[in-house]
Amino acid sequence: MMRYFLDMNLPVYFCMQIGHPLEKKARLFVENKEDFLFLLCDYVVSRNLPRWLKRQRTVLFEFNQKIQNPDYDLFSSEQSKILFPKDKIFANRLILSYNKSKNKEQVVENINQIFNLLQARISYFIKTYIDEVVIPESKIDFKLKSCLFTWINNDSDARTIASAIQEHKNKKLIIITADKKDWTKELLEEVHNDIMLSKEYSSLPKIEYLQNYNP
Amino acid sequence: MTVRKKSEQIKEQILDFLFEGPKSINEIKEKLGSNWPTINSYLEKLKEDGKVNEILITDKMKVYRRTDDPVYYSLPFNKDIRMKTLYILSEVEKRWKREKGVELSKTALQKLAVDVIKTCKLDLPILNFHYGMTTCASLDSNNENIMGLIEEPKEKKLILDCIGEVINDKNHTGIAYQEREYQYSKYKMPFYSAKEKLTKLFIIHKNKNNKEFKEKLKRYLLNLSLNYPIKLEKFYDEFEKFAGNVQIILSQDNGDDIEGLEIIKGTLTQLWDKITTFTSFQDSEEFIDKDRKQLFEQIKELNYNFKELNYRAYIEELESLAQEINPFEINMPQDETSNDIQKLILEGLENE
Repeated sequence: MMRYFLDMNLPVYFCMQIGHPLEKKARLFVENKEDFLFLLCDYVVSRNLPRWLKRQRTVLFEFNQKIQNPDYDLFSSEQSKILFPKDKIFANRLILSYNKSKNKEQVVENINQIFNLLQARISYFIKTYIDEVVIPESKIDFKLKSCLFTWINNDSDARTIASAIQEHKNKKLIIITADKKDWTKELLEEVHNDIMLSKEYSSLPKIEYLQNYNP
Repeated sequence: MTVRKKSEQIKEQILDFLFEGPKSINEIKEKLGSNWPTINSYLEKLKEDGKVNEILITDKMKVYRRTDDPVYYSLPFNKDIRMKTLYILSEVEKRWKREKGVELSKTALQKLAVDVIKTCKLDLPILNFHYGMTTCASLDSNNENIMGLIEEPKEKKLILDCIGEVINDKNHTGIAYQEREYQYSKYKMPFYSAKEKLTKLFIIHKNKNNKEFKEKLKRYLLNLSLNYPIKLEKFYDEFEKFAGNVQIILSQDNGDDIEGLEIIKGTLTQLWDKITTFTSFQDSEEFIDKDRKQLFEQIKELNYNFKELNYRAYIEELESLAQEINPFEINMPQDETSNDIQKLILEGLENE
């Protein structure tokens, strides 16, 4: 049975409901699961997704504080220290949407509902559709991860892809992602420019893109 | 005969000393000029009589308190704080009865006493507890043993004047729920107001499982989320876990039924208990003398652990209830703004 190693963005697309093309692709991909096994790596399940969700919750916290009290100094909470600049932009845009809206009460209700559902859907997705969580985070090959990081310059991606390559060594898999820009065949092949790594990981997984998925 | 009298005297001395707060056997021994085995045996006797119990037992020490200790959690506030607080409570109670001709409920008494402390600007602890701000002690005027120990403080005149002022405030009705509402509005406590609304909703909800109740519950819960205070951000994740799971349960399209209403209520109660226990300890801390800090920390930890245990049991049940629901069967809001928000979430996914 073919094994697909999922990038973190796939479950998130699957959880949305706006008719985004990738959301539809993700849904199709999951609906046609019967013949495949779905894998996520431990780093994504235990670290990256929870951390991302925590940041989303913090954005919601900041939003709720600000709309309830206009004097609230945005991002002054202790927890907002974990926010990235892009999260702060997101929070500001939520507040802007709220300020512009005619039915403010409804907007607040909807924003809270979206964030709640997103959390619940992601947990449900993992519980329902993921067959295996592979490569404990502590077992990620540091040399492999560092090699990938040199080229991709993103620690989370480097850890996730390293997990995929390591698991592929155990048993063949295909990586599926929506990130055409960074998750490339060329990136994976950089591993083979290192003599030690090329011996250790002589076979590299194939990458498929959600954008190209056709059942 | 002489021996028995002496024994009673010692027991009384121990109880009087414990009125000043929980004490270790060593402290009692030193105060009474006695030795460890003697004091230990008297404490055992007092324990058998139900007059004292151990608040803390470690390898190195045992700390005792009076079973009728009026201070919440038997926190080790000093004698001065205890005396003044109890004096205010007893005088407010007496004055109210004298002027209004009715007894005050415990909640109302606390609310009036808090106003007295604030009006007099007295340096006494005010705790953000389960039902809003309270003093650090609860008064049982039927307990003659305690009432007999209360002494007049040097600020007596100021306190009595303030009591008069507070009792004359027409907003004080002496009725528990009105007193709570008045305090929440007077001191701008919207989180407590939101919780009060929820509690009331649960109380007046007789015809279970109707649509209106479900909608109100959703709205009131959101109101509670919106008023979540920044000073409690430490508990925000847990609060959100509770609120999120309840919203999922309430969004389930199963007609007017609400599955697990008792679990929802129970979890809210336990969460509230946990949060307000934290705030009351936090508010107490600055009033604890340096040499009592360690004991304070130990009592705090003991209570936190206990509250945490109670809360865990409920939240786990609530979570499993919510997890039985397929969240993909609940629609995301479908208007333009909601779509934009989801798009923003997706935009933020890049470079994760």
